[in-house]
Amino acid sequence: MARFIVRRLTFMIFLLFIVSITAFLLFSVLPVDPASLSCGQHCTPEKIAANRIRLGYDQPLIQQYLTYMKGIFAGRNYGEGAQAFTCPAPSFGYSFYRGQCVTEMITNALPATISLTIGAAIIWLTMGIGLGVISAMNKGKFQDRVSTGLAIFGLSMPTFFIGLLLIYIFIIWLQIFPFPSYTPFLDNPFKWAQALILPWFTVAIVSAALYTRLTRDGMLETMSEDYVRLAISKGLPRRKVLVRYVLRGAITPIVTIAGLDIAVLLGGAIITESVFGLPGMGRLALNSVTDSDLPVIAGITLITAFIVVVANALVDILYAILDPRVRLES
Amino acid sequence: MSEALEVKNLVKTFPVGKKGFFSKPTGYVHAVDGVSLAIKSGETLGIVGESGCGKSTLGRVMTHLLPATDGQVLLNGIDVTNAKGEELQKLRRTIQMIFQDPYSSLNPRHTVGRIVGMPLVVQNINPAQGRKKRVQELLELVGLNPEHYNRYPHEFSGGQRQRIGIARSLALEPKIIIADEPVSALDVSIQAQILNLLQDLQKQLDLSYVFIAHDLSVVKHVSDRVAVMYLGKIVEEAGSEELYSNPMHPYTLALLSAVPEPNPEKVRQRILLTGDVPSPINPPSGCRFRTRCWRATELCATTEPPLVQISSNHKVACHFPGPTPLPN
Amino acid sequence: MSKNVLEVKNLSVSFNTADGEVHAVDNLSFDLQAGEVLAIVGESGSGKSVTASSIMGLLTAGNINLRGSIKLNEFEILGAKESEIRKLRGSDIAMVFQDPLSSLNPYYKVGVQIGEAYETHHPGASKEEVRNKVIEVMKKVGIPEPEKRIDSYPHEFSGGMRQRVVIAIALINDPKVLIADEPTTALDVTVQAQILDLMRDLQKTSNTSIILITHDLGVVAEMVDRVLVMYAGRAIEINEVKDIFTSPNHPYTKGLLSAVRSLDNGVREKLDTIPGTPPSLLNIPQGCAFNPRCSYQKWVGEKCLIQKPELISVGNSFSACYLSKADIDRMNNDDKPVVS
Repeated sequence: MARFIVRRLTFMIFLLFIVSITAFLLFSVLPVDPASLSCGQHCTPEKIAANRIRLGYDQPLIQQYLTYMKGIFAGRNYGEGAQAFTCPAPSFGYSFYRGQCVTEMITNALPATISLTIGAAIIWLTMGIGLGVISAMNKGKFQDRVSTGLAIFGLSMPTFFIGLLLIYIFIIWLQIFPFPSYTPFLDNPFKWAQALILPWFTVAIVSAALYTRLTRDGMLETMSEDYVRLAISKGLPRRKVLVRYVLRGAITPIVTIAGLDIAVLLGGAIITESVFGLPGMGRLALNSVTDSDLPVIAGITLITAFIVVVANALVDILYAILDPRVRLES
Repeated sequence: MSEALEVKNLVKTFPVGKKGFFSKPTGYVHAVDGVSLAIKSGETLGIVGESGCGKSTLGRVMTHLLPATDGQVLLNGIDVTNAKGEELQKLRRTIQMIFQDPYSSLNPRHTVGRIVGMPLVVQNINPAQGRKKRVQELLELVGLNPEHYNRYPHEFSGGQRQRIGIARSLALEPKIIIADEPVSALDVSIQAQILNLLQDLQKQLDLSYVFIAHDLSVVKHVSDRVAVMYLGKIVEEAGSEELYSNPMHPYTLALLSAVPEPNPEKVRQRILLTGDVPSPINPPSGCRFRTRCWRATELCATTEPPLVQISSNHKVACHFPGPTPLPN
Repeated sequence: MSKNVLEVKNLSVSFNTADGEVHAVDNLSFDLQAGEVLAIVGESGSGKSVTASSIMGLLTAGNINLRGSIKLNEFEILGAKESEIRKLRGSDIAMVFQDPLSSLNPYYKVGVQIGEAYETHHPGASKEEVRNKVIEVMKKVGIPEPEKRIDSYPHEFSGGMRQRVVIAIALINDPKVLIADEPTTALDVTVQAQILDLMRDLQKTSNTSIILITHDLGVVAEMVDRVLVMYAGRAIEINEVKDIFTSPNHPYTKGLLSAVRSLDNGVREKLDTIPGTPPSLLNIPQGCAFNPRCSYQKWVGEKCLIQKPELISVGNSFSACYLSKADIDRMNNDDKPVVS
């Protein structure tokens, strides 16, 4: 088992390097000139050329790549003399547009995204799996059709529509919640939750359908397995059979897919964050694209890709933990 | 009469396990480890053994569904071991296969007519009477109603589906058919029907069969000669009658004694083998059967017994072959 | 006369499907005595597995119709409350299924799964008590090094060992009745021999009654005392094992015996078969379900085609057939096979 984990993590690191090279190459072929972008307000061709040299864009690509990677591990210096400053490690670059180190911008945006993702995930997993179990146990009956119907209904609604709908119902009409404004958890947990509750449900309603379906199908398939029949023949109570045998058998693919879903969301739920004005990664990404702020875009792309690669590795390891048959390496 | 099909020192191994970054295999499964057999024209050779002995793999290598790792496959004396492309296409017209599971070996989305006619389409054969007529002839040949040409597999019973599989294997007019457990998935009374059908077809069409099974009584009924396999090797080979009345290898003795007899009066002296079948990745040194054999000695651990001819139609691979189970 | 541990009377099971009502079991009656081994023999569609499931009280889906009576030591199973039946499952009646790999939960250790069977029926038991019981039963079924293997997963065992685990689960609470549904069909023949031996030994020492469901007449000859033959959901013959093989009362039984290859038969002799195939349960023939395939129907005449024969006693045994005793003797002395 330990050998399996070590092997998987080694491969993951290898993959991260490949990802970083690919991302870097992608940005280097963009039809945008980073030197002129970072020039600022009053740009002249001489200034652009000077900028290019200053920022190292005249260097060969490999050198640029290495400088960039070095920055991630050791921080990076900008400017000369009195105007010199450092973006501390891990440095993903410097936004000339905003005048901030990219890393700092990302770390400021992460808490909101993480709060949104984790909270929504808890809700959608509970809803999705719960509805799936109800469907499976009442296959073909009224509860089954209603549960599946609800889930699909949620799936087919566009995120912004649900978001706006919830805003209308709960904020404007029923006036249960105030207009959302994000407060960090440590400042005021209650207000934090209040600001997030509608975004949580927006994301959850859309995502739950897949899990309802997965749970329902997985459970129905497992229910007809011989080992479930044997469990019942042992005299085990129904609930125990349901959890230890049926659900346990169905849960593995659900867990792995959930892991990947969460990873992708951690890169930023652009639409939801925009609708609710949450200062997360999604909004950061959106703004930096509209502002053509290349360093930030590059940084976010890289971070998001890293998160997915790491999540993939963790999910593989989790799968091996959950299914003893996978662990067997003779 | 020349050998219709012959294998010489056939070896088939599968890599297993992963090691290191580039997934080097940690070991090899020696599924077939040096098997030599010959089937004459019009003859049925039975290959019997338990799970993991390599008989199914052997069948698949013979049919070229799997490439051989080493050794030779000869068809009418010609080496076809590494047949590729056109040569392989031609080969398929001579050697065909019948599979075990009548439920999974037929494409549920194709009609019976399409299934049986597929080999003709693949090989670009246009019989004089047209493909449809030919397919209907085949259906009749195996005892099915040619009117059912447009039905789907699920509309047939297990036994009928197996007949469809047989019809399909006959489409190209092969000379040799490898039957891999063709009746084990069927009910008892249907097994008898299918076995009778196979015998009739053999006479009618002058076919040679390689009949792979784990059921010793089935093999006895259909085979002229029988080879017993254990962990990738042939341990005994003899004429059918000879093998069942004069078994020499301890494994054969154990197998024969293990079969439950439908006769409550008969007092059986049952040989119970101890332990489990060893792993085919790390077979025991010397004779592979020695770990479960009551006759095993030092010699068996150091030297692998070769397959020797002990009489005109009997070969055994054992240092101490003999008919009686020496009690321990 | 030994007491009847299980009494099945007029059991009928049918399923409502989209294609119509499927009569899986039709008016089945039989008894099982204490310490007896009874085989239920039949081909696919005969209803033997459905019978086993009804005895275990496993048929609870909405589209199933159950009629009749199943009494385990005087307790009526059909119609009893689920909580009552649950107490019996695993303790008074236990079941062993065909495929040991799919019968065991791949996610839990073997010791846990065996222990569960004990804990469910002994709720106050301490962890140590359970563990000792598990090791004890593992030794009983012949699993080597039980202290070590108690922590293994099912996929780490070979097929024969897995089946021993399943038997251990069934026997840990000393059930009165063990139902074994094709327990050795998925196993190699040498392993089958080991498992049958094990079951025979265990049965002798604990005097458990066994219902052995199988289509393998060789296994029947070796293991059982009495045989119940089923065809298209009905019992067509009940007889002592010796008599069934030497002088069966029903043409189907005779046909089955002829079709079974025996190691005593000559090499490459044509096998006797029963023509045709077992009927679809949606479309059971009128009268005797076997009549389209029966070579002796002409000895009886029209009656076979009109009315289903009831199970009547013929000497020591029972048979559902209109053949007279004289005709049965004629049939058994008839050297001609059932079908040429």
